[in-house]
Amino acid sequence: MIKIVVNGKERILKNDISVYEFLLQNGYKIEFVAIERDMKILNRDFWQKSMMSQGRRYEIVEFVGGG
Amino acid sequence: MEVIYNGKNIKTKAKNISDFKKEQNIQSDINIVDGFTTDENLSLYEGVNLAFIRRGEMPEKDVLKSMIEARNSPELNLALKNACIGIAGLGGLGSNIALSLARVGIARLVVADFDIVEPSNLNRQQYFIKHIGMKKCDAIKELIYDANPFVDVKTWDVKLDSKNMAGVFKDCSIVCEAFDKAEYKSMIVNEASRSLKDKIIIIGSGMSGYHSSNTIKTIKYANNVYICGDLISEAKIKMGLMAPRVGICANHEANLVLRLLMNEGI
Repeated sequence: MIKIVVNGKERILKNDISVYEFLLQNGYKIEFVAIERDMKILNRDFWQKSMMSQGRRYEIVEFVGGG
Repeated sequence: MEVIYNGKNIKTKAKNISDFKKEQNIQSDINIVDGFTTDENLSLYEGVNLAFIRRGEMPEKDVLKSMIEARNSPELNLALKNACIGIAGLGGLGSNIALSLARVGIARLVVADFDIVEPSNLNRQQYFIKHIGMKKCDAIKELIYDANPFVDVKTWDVKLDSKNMAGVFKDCSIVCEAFDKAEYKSMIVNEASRSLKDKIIIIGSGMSGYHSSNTIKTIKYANNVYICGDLISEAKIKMGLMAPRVGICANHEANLVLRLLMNEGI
């Protein structure tokens, strides 16, 4: 069991999963997302390899179009 | 004592504004003292920045610069002198950020966009009818020159991607994201962890519609990333992008640039 904080809320995961898998399971639109893990941007090249247990606090932002 | 008068250091025996104007034989309608317009005969102090402007008169070019920046907070002018800021995209966000930073007198701007001005841009972007069909890079350069000819503007008529961004913005300490599409916003944040990791990146996300102005805010996101916007208002069918909220968001980005240059937080 893994305890993490995502966007300010505590989350408990039964099994450790990759960051990429977490995004899919939670319905994020992958191409619009940025992930901050423990104050640093987690590069998308590492989303499949990185496990959620490797961080404590995540801020996941889904950008919206317009400018 | 020594004061700064229209950009030049001058020694004076005068104790107040009225005496100084007599001493220097200055005729003016507008007196600006350290960023503030005043009619009062204030006492002078060491290092005070004075600008005296004759309404309707075109000043010499070397004096014009100091007059343009006369209403700025004086300490900001020092920070602006060494600043080089990047702007990725010259649409609603980028054209507004560019003009705001140019007006306050940023030393250098590096701007990039591959697009041309078209009529549907005019509801929120800083361009005019006469710019339709023009490269945005060329149009913004002209607008900046008209507002403040002392800004050094480097334009890149390119489509930015994850490979060329670091080269384009290599001289910049801060890069303002001003793309239209969400996937490009995501791309530049991704580069904040790689090719742009020595820079501060400011993103704009969520500014469409005519929702309350007060929902647009500035947040610190990662160690070198900030986001301005309401984070949710996506441009989509029946949800337009209009000058007021795009301008608010753009100026959140521009004001954050000033705050970061002054080593302030959000």
